[in-house]
Amino acid sequence: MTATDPESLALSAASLSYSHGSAGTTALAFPDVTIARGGSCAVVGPSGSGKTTLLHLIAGLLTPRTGSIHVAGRRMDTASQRERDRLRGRLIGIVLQQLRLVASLSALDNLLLAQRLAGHPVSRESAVERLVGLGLGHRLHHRPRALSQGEAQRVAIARATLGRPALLLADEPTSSLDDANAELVLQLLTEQAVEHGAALLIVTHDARIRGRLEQEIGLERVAA
Amino acid sequence: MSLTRLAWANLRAAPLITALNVGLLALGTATIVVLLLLSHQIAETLTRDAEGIDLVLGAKGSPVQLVLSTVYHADIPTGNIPLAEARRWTEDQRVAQAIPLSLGDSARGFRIVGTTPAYPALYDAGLAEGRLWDESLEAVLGAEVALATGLRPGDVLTGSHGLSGMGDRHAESPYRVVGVLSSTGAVVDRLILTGLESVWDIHAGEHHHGHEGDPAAEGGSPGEHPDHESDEEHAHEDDEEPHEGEAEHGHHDAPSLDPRTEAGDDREITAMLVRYASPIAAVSMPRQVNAQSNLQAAAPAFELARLLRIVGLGLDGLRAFALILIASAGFSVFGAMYGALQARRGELAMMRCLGASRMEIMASLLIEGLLLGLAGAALGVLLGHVTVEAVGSVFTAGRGVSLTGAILLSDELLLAAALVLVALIAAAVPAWQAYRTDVSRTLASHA
Repeated sequence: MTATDPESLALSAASLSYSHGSAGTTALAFPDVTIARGGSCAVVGPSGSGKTTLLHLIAGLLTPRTGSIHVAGRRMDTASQRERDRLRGRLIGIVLQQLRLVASLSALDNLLLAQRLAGHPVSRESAVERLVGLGLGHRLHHRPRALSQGEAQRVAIARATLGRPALLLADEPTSSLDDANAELVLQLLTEQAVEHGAALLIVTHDARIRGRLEQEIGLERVAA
Repeated sequence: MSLTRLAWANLRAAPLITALNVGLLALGTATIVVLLLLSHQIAETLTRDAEGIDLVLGAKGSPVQLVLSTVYHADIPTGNIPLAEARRWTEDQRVAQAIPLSLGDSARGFRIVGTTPAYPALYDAGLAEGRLWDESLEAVLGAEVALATGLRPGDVLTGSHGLSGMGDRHAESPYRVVGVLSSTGAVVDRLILTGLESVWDIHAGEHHHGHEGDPAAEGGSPGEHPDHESDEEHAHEDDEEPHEGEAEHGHHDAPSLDPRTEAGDDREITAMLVRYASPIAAVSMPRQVNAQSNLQAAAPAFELARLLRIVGLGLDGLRAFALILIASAGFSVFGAMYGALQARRGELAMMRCLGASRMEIMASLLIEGLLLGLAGAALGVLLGHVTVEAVGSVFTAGRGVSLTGAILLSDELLLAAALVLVALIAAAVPAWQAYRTDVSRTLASHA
């Protein structure tokens, strides 16, 4: 896996470390993560092991102290902040435990906003099509507050995959759900990733994810 | 889904707070718009009334009072002056036109002004009906007088002594209405005009009876004279040289009207309205008159400026009040935007995850402020105009100032721009905080 050309990979994160705040504080060191295009990987570890930090590093929301990050062959960690915003919009879809749909916008408008912010051409038809495909045809013009948890989940996943990202990141997507719903969300994530050609990376402490994705990387709790 | 639509959706999602902020901004704006419209139109009316009058010659006293009483017909006159002495000054070559006024009586609440045809001409008041006065005790009504009293040519009007309408009635010598002037929007609309001789005849007039020709010639250009009938006293006027202000020269057959040939002329007028031949006259003439005669010379423009300064003090107080309103509206916008920022931090961080730049996050909040400001400004300007129009139609009829909300002042555009700026500044602090939000920490902290 080390010899693989970054161009052929959805994600290649090598020798990453990160330190909060000023230099000199203890750094979190992360194992390398490499996912082929269309592949999937679970990063599993207890709270405080730095799962979310790793996800934010990969998404370009944080800057690593050492190491390199390539997403679909594009180097993220050395890009400027604006460039990282652009790459993130174009190459990465993100689903968080808290869905954070824009409360004042309808389900459809949430998708249209995502297209606009990602710099994709805004296509009402494709957004409608996507929501209809997820069984949300009757919810197009409802605001998030009017949606059930499952419906909102689907809108959030549709939002993350609408722009056909190379990499779909999910942070604890199932942790707050009961078994049945966790299973539904996990299925939906893997289905959607496959359907839209995205590699899937899930960070979680949820044991139910174990064994469900192609790769699994464990993180240890770091001593403070 | 533009950022503007997002901002609009966010404003609509909190209709009560949005309405409160727009309302506050609009109230402040409307107050200032009302002030702007009022002060502009009052100043415009006052300036219009004084147009073409460079100097007023009248009795000694307060110059403001002299101008108020003779130009705006809003105060009691300072007294009377001898016609002969006023003439002595207005024959000066620095004077292009001099219009005598004689005040003192009123009818049905409107002032009767003895003057010459040059006076209505000063305000471009044409005849809507009938003709100008020709003989003593003929009266021509200003447009508003005709409207208010319903009098028409052929009707009879009894004047009473004093400007308040409470004085003795001159029942034995009623005026005959011969004409109605067209509406001008100026002070002449609210006056009853007659010849100088009418006033003299009513008050002291035994020995001057019938000599009405000369004052009418004074200062009036021949073309504006009413049609002359076969009256021999008028016949020669048509021959006179068109020297305004120096019209006496041809009047040898009316010697009793020439102050230089009749020392005993004791006729009086209230004031002489003077137009200079050249602006240079303003340098020397008022000073000379004030120093070398028993007359007082007052410049309406100067006194008007003084008056407006006094009025302006009151308006300044109101303006300060309006600024406080706008400032509180600004604080309210700030509070609302700040609250919105706290509530939407997660959303905004998520927008960054979707690829939004920090500038776009900031812009989305600034646009909300901008929309609030625009809505507040538009509503405020509208409200101000409606208010002035309502006030104008209800309260100002017959008060000498016609108010309308149907004009747009360039200052209002400035005001609207300033208001939008206030809203933008109020939104700027929350927007800046949103700009600086640490996305990673925000997303992690609300887990």
